[in-house]
Amino acid sequence: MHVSPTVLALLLTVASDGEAGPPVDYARDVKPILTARCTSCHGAIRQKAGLRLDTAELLRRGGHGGPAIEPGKSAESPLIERVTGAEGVDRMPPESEGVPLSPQEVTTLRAWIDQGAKAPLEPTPEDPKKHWAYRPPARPPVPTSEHPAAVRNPIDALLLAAQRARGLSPASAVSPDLWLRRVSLDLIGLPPTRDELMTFRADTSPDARGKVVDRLLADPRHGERWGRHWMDVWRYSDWYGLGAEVRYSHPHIWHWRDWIVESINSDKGYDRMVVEMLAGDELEPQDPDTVRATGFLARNWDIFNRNVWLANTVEHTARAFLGVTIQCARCHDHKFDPVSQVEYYRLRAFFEPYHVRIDRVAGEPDRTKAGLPRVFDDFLETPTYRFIRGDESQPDKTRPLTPATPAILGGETPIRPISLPVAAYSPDKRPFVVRETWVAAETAVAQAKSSLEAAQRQVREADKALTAAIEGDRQVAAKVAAVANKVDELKAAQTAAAASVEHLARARLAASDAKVDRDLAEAAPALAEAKFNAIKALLNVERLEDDGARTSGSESWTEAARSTVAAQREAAVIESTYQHRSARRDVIRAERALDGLLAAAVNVKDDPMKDARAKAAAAVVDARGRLAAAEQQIAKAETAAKAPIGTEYVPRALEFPRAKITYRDTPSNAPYAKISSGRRLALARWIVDRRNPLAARVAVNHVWARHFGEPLVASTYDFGLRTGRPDLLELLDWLAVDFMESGWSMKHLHKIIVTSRAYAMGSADSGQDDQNVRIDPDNHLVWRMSSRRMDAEVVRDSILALAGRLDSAIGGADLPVAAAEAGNRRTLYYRFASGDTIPLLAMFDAPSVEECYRRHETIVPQQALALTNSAMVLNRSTEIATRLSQDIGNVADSASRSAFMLSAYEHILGRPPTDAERAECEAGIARLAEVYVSEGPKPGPSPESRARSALVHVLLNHNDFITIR
Amino acid sequence: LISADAMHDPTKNVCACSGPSRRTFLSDLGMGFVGLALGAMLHRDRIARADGGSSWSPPTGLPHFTPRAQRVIWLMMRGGVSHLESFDPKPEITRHAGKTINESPHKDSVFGSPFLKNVREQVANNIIDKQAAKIYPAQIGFKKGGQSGIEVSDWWPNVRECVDDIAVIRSMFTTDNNHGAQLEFFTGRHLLDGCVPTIGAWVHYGLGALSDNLPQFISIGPPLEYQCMGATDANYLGPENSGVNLKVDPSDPLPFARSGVPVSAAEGALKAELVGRLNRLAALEYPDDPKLRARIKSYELAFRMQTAIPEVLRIQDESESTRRLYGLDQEVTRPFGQQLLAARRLTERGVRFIQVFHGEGAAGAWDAHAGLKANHSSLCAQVDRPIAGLLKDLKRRGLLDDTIVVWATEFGRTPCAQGSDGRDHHNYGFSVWMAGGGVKGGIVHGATDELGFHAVEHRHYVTDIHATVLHLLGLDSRRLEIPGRKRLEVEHGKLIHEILV
Repeated sequence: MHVSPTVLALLLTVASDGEAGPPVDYARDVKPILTARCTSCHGAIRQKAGLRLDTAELLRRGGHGGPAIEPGKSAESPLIERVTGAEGVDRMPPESEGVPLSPQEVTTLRAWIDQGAKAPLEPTPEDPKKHWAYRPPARPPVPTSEHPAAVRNPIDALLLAAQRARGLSPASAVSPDLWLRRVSLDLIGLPPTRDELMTFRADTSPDARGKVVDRLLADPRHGERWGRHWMDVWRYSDWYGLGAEVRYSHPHIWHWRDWIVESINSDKGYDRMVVEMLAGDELEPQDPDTVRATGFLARNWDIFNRNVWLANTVEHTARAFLGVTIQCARCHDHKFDPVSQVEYYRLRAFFEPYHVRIDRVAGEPDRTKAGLPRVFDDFLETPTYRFIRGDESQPDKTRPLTPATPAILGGETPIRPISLPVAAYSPDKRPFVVRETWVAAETAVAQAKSSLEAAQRQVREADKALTAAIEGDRQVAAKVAAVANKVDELKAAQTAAAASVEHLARARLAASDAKVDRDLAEAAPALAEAKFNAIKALLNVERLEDDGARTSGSESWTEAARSTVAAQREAAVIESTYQHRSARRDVIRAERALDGLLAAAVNVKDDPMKDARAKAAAAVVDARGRLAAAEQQIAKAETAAKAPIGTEYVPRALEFPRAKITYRDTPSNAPYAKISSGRRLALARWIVDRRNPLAARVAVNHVWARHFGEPLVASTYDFGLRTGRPDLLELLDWLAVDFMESGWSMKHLHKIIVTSRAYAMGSADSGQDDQNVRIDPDNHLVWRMSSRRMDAEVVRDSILALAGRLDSAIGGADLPVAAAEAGNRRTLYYRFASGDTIPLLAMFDAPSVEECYRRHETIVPQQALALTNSAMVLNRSTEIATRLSQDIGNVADSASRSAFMLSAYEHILGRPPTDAERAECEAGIARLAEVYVSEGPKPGPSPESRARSALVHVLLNHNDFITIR
Repeated sequence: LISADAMHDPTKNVCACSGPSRRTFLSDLGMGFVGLALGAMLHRDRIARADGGSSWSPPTGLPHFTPRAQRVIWLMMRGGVSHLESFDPKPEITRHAGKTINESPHKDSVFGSPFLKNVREQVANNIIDKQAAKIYPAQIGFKKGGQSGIEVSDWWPNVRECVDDIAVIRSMFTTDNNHGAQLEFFTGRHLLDGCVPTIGAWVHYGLGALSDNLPQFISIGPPLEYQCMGATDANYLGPENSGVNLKVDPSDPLPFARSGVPVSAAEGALKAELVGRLNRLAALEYPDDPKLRARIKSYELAFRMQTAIPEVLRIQDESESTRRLYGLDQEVTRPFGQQLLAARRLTERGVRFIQVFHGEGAAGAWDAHAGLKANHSSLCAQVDRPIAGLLKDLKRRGLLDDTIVVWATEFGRTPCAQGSDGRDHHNYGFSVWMAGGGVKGGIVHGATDELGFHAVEHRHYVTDIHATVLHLLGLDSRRLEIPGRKRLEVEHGKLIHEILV
């Protein structure tokens, strides 16, 4: 029997006596439940069980198990069985996806079905491949404008077209003074000097602004400003841990920071930068200047857990370069984007072999003092598994995963393993290490010789002192004899004699010690020379091997290897003799020390010498042990020396143990792999391939955001399906394509942005009366500039610059935070690690070391307190005032004050004061001066100078100082 | 569009975003809606826009339903307090002392328990061998306290006197068996799973300010030095919701609260006034710039805070008897007593959420791997009287009715000995307590097994405390959730109905 659903619904409605309740509206009541709880697994991206629940039609159509609903019959609808967890079916959503639907929600669904499951027609959501961000950008046509004056370059044309279409008109231009301040702060992170302001005002040429931009882009401080921006995105962090234990990131990671600054200053292509950061070691294995870029990966090092380390690497590589939130797929298929859990782990597989080590740098063998943290591939066979529900204790070992990029993004990643040059897999063989090894051995010879000379000198001096002591003793003895009968003099003579006897005994001891030391020192040059010879021979044979001589079995190699063995044996014999002599000396000394203590022993209950004696006795035992060992060593070395000479020399010890991989590891001394997997290089090249739809867009968006205060795509690290088509997609794409075609030149991108007319717009709107505000209140179409607050670093750097203190030195090891208060280096050079940042920065939303794709911009009272009360700001205020008064003088009259105020406004705020401000400040200075006068005469600056310093301090607290208009 | 990034930028074009009503709203309040809350408000507003047309809306600052409590004082003993020697007496550990658990009759209930797997180690094999270690007897006796007769150890005689106001929860568990559990208690998330906002930040985010002159979320005592930004971290809720670290040192209570070089009061006031006047002149130029107006207000609050904070921390103003109540007359109790007295003064003046940490050192002082008796007896002596003093003081002032006091620690300690006289970390079962603000007094909730090993009855994960605190404050954590920042079920926690009045 077939009953139409409507009839049935009617029957049921009647039968259940109106249980279906008040009318349910699909769009209002039902769809939100399904969207919130069901469609992430049953929707456009994923169709578990072949089922989609994102439209009513799809609900009726159902999946593998047939229709999900039976209109009119909630009791027979599988959907209801599932959400109520009826007997014999798995409850939906499953336990792992959250709580069951509430009774209220189930009632709503039931009622909707029972009322016939009515719904308006709705479009079926699209195939994710059509998402705007997953299609490669194409350069859109640039519209021709009817208002050529309003268009300086294609940015303006594209913006204007979009604005006109919505009835918007661009805001009027900002004053030239404020444009100069804006562009200076944006490009070099410092306000313009007053001289620069004057020069700019005086330049009436049509290209005055272009000249400013060229000057700023050529300024090395540009690299520091933008370096800091990219350090946010790329998660720069100095090492940190507990006490001296390095737990996160790596010591000397500042090499990577310097690479960032230098790369920006030299306008290295962004594509090249990405490749160097992900695979510099594979790209240019012999070039430390390239390899240091891999600090990007070394930074993720985490002592506790390799999986956390790799999870951070995968997450932030995807977010920084691709705008993909792949981390969501660590535990389950991505809920919003078409990325499966398997794809997450296949992306991880690119990184599976990478590890971190610190390479020795020229001039410093101690890697704790200096070194280059870098990555390299190791344990190349380590498989990658999917972790079930992201749980690292549950790897799915049935299916090892190979590297691959998410299918939705297209492209290919051909992986070719890379044979590394010797210098890369055996960094001890780099010429400077060889040279330093040679020089160290050679220097040891010279040192042994000069030590010997010193020891001989010591003997001569001790002998001389002994002779003198003997003579002295003879004289006091004679004196005692001479005054034997003179009671009054005898006592003094005897005291002197006793001192002399002691002195003589000491001199004897010293002379004897000097001779023992000299005897040992006499053996040292021969030892140093033998070692030097052995090193020379060893380095020679290594060199031959690296030229391929060993594999060719050449005679010269055999000869060199045999010479090395001979030299090493000889050195071993000499060394053992030397150690024997040294141990013997120690035995004699230790025994003598113990004898002395025994002689001094007192027979009391709490013997104060007890511990000292026990220690001395132990020292004797220890020295005897070494003596015995040395004796054996001599025998062994001599036996070895007699054996026929072969080619089995002892290779150089590896000086570069791996960093620990996890907390429990012991560093390994095994040689490094001679091959790098090539995985990271393949991944990096895929990321910056012209066909990759995301890399250029993401980069351009970051740059735009830092010039306009608002990005074109609001979620700078998520270009996924949740991110709708941006209002200005054509502009984004035009910039992205232009960027790629310029050779990914960041300076080109900056220039085209900051020379646009759009960039020169003012930031003010005229409130509700403004038609623009009514149409586009959020300024989505960039009809005006957005004002911004200075970044934390810019606050400190600018104040130092205004005071004429900012040090122009570039780069170098991270400086201690404690030095920042009085220090004059740019802020990015001070340590930046969790729990170790400059206090002033914390007040101004300094980035988290964990991640910072965009800075926060808060306005909180702590900022006011910092600028009001920081000693640094107060002291620099005085210095600024002093500088400004140099030409103007400090006379407390209106003319001088007026000149000072003009100068202070232009210096600090980059603009002249208005008449009202001038009056306010003049009154302010007068009132402040009165306060200081009322305090009575004081040493130091005059009340007038103090008032001017105070005014400068007030201007540094002005909203216009900290604001980029 | 759902974007965390957008949230990070709270202050863009705020007035414009929701038309005249918002602008009027701000001006009606004369922006006196307190700088800190303003920051939060601007911030929320931004999220609202970022979310486009969805049904989500930002918190209004008002509770979701009628609250029982207004404020929270959260005491955190760092290092791991032994539940077996504080609030969970277990005669069986004394009876079977010296045996291994396998040799005791409780072998199956411990090693046969499904809860044994309920641990996630940060550091492998970090804990004593459960099979081989010997049961260690209780190091202190217990006595019944109050009308309720709840047993509390003799190291806590003063807190025992207050037990009729306390709900002891003996069935806590957590998943980290190292001190990352400290932060886990505040975030509900294992340290290895990344950083999320802490409970104080959620409260800050959810509720409006009670005071014009003070921050809403304050942290006192040795801060947590683990990953993330510590227990004051607001993370994706934005730094305006994060806690302000306060030293209870009247000479330097707030970063930059005092001038770095001497400045007379007259001079300071003149300068502050001039800043205000000049900024208002700039406002003529930018009449619709909400950031400028927020900046002006922030300077005003800063100026008030500058004087308000030192005033609040002037604990010498308290009467002699109050000072004694908190143990300020004794060397040993003074440091913690001062902090708790300051906490009371701060809550009284409108601070919403205060956390007070006790126990210096990277791991926390309570970490009694050896010498438990000496360690706990001396640390209890530092905190017992001040904590009881706080409860009594709040009660007699009528503040306990709407102030929630939480006493917690990251985990308990093993029933078995570590070395000869210590106990190791124990995440499977431990005790905390709550008092005031709608919490039933004089009750014990939940239980561990006979050896105090596993929480077995009414098991509670740390976020169940969050859920209970939020409920008492009138908040529903699910309604606070932000689109694009999916919280796990476990992070919401479950309300502990049984301990509510």
